[in-house]
Amino acid sequence: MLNLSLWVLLFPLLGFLILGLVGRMMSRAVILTVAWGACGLAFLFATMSFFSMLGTTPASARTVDQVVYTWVNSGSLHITFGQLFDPLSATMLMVVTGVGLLIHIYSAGYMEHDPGFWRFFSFLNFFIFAMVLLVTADNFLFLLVGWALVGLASFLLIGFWYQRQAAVAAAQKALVINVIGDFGLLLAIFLIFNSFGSLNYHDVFGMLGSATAGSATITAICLLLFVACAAKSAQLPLYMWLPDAMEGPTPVSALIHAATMVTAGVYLVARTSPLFEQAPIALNTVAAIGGATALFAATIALFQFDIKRVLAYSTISQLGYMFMSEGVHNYSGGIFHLTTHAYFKALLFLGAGAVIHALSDEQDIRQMGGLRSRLPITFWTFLIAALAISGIPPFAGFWSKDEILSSLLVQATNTGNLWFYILWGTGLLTAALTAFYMFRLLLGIFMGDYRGSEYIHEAPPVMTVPLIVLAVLSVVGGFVGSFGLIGLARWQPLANFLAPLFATVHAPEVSLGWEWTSTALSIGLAVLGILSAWVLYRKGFAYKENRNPLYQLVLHKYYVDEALSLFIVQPVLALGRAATRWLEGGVLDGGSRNLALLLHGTSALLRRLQTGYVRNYALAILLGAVLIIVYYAVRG
Amino acid sequence: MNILASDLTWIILLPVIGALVVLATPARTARWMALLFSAAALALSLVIFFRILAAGQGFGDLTHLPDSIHTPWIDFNAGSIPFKIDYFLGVDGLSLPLVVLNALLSMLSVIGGWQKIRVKEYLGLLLLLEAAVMGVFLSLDLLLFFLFWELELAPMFLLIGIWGYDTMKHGVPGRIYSAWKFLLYTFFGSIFMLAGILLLYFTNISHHNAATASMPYFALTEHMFNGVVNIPILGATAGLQLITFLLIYTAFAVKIPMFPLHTWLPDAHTDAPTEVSVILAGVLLKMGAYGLIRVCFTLLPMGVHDFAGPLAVLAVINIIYGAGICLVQTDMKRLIAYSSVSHMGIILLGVAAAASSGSIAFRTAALTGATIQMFSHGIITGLLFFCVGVISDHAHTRDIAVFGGIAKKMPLLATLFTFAALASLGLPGLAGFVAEYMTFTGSFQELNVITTISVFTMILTAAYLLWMLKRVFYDPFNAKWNGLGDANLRELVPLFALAALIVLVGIYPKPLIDVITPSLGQLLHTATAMIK
Repeated sequence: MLNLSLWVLLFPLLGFLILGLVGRMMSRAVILTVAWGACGLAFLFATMSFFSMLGTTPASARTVDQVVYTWVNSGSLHITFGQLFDPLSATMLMVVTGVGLLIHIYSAGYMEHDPGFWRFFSFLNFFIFAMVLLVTADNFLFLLVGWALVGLASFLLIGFWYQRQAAVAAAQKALVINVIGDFGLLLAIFLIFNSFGSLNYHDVFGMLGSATAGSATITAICLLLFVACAAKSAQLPLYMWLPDAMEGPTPVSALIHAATMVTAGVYLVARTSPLFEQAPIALNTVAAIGGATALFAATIALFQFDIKRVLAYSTISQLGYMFMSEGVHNYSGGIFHLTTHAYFKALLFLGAGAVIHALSDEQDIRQMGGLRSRLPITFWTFLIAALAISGIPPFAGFWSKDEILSSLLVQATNTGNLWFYILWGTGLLTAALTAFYMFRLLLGIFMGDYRGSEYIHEAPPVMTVPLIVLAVLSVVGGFVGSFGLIGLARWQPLANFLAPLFATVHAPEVSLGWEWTSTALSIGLAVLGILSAWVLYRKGFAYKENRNPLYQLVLHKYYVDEALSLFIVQPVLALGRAATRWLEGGVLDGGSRNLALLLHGTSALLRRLQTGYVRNYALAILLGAVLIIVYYAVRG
Repeated sequence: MNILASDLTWIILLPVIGALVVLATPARTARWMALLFSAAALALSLVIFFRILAAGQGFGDLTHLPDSIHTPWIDFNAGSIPFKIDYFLGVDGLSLPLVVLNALLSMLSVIGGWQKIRVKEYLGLLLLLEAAVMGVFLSLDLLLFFLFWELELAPMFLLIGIWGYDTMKHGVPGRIYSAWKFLLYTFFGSIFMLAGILLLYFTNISHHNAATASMPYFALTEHMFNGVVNIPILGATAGLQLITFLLIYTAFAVKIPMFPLHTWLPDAHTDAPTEVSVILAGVLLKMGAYGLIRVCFTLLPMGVHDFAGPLAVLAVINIIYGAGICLVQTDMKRLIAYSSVSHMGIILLGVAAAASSGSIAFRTAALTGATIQMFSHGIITGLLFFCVGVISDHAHTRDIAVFGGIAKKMPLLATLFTFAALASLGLPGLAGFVAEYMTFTGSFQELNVITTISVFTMILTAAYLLWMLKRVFYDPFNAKWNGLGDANLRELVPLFALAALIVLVGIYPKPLIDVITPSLGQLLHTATAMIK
């Protein structure tokens, strides 16, 4: 089998180094040659390796662990940098480099007039490098390295326009919350190393057995891993950085904050599925958090006015679906939704970017409307993506979402556990809300009359071509999923491809009857959501002041940011100030200064006794003698 | 044995001669002389490094020193009491990286201090400082160690007191206030160290009597030769080791600095000129940590072991408290000074873990991590201070609040400063991460709660460093700084040199670890035998 994953890693790194060091002096054409070349070669090599893997049988021969060099060798610590190339990393590589390449192309148009052109592309290449590192690392340590580096790339790109206060604040927030995730991952790594004495996936998973199943350590490891996933994939309660991250350039939002980086958490749970399979508590947590996040974020998305924020909350919500799926043992379903979501959500963001570009940086849907005829390509591709995310067949999102919903129902009927029914209900309700907010957005942008005042122009081909490619993928991308629904039970290429990874998973048996129930309901609810949006916003978007407290609560995103500042950030800062003033300045520094003053004062006092006059000393001797005599006289 | 034949002697002598030459030549050539001699010291330290590497015998330990010079210096008997001090220098995997670090930072500091007023005296004192610190890292005789330890105070005192900042503090110019504070704090610790050394000395004598009167008690290695651990006081109660340890360690604790003895550091840093801050944070603090491992761990393992619990608690206070204070600082240099307090705590944690009773493999990892932290904190904080120095020289202020958006005017410096901050917050792939990761991995087994709390510092560090960067370099541009220029070529040399080293150690730490681990392994092995 051809394995070029090292080159997939190195080309973007090379691109980053070239652009970072000498990009400043390059012309735009040269910058694009380097950036597109780096990403394009990475995509080419990933594709070649991927198809070579497809041609390899048996499935067990599709896993290659290639050690590159030894990082640390000290005591019991032996850590190498190696790349694991297997069906999961191959799938991820295709998504990352493929979508990455499209967005590299699109960015050439979007960022055309930006003075930081070279910087932007060097960061994009760096991101691809970091993401490839993350998905191909063969051990937890280099996973952490990739994990932190994609966070860094995200930080750099959110704060790309570093003179905008909001962008810089958002970048800072994103990195700090990501570091909370790194903290979880690091602790998980310590626990793993302590329990297994190795950090290599293969070694660790090989040591799992009935003895370790359900143990508190494994549960703790999985929960800590999930802290990292929640931070990276913006799940409750660590989601608040992602909506703010929309301050970055739109292609960045599409690539990092929709299609690839934020799905790293989904990847990690799938990658460590052998661990999660042994920790039912952790797995249930994953499902519950996923469900809660899916619904919570969807409700916020209902009433936002910023086109990108709607999409950001939508991303959070869709990531919740992926975790729900993984929480009920359907890992390949999670990865499936990850890939289709990458297509249609990247498309939505790039479409939004085309709109924003056309309107000279306007992002408020109250200032849009009637753009259907003026931006036809954007409109049609956006429509396809909206149908896909709403789960309308035969678009990509339908197949993946349907698979998730039916596996939730199957889990519920198999276990008879009420909570899984609630989870399934949450998934259905979220599907309806998704259809509603997505069509509210679509109708608000493209229908009715234009409400703004900017001159409008359709995007250049360099931007529309990626839109069209992604639109095609949003239509056909779902066909790699399971067709059991329509009687083709054997057709499930993606699940079969990934199957060797989830050999230990006890996937529940699917019953066609239940599956149809779930499917019918989800399509019905999606159509209902679209129709409601149609009724309300068919004539375009009319904003009315609404004083309903519940509406205000949702509009203000449940006041989470305010609460966070009030209950965490401000108290910590107050504590720091108090410690600086009282402990540091008062007790410690003041103490040492007072000690010095005390010594100084005492010696000044004592010095006064040393007058140098004999008569003073004689007087002191006399007084002393008198005191002694008096003492003995009194004592008798 | 001719002491001049040893290259170790020359590592100390070169900067001293350099200082004299600098003082004797006119200012125009003096700078180049300073650079020449500091570069020669660096070259020599690298020659030693690569010679040992090429020999292929490893970097040894106290029983097998790859390079040493040992000859009697003072040797006489007063009645039945022998007085004996040896001229004993040597390097192993623990000290050699620090020797190279000192040589490197000193040379970069000479470049950094090129434009100082009274440049001859300034560079001369920097070279003397380098020599004294070299002596500390090379001495294997306790009194010689103490001598160099004290010697370092004089140039440092003058450097802060003469070239420091004039901002008033408690009624005196800051440079005067901080120089005295530095001197008094260090002296305070030194008294205890001297007492500890004397206690060790006389206990030693009373246990050995005349039979071993010829034994050079203070040479660290003598106790370890032949694999026999014959520190006489080992026969005594562990309490005695603990007391001796606490006395000697007080000096190291001030230097590291350990809470609550750290308050001299922020003052010294805020008032010291840039290059002195670089040396102070980069090398001088390491003297304390080095002493803790070299002197305490080697001679008094039982004492360190008994104190491991409190040491771990103090370590986590250093780590978290230092970071917490950073969150509210308004002066860039003060902020970085407190971040040093926080990062030096990680070394304490590593030592505490190494002295606990966990498995030897984890303890080796912890101690190796702590030693790498010395090196990587040296280069990272050095870079941070050089960056602040550039801003301070260009803008004549370090107040975080008055800046805003100056990345527009200083794009290169902004990039390097951001890079340094990322390294400092432990970004994987850079030097700080290697050290922190190894230390925490090693300490997690025995001290899981304390380690977990300590790892939390990552989040605080990210918060305070990013907050500072945001306020200074990013955000809307403050038009007041329109005239600000980017770092010039001379200023960039130290920045790029350190940045390259940080990346190198981060992505390929193996060579450095291969140097350090065997030496520490032997140290720990002997210590473990003694603890039992």
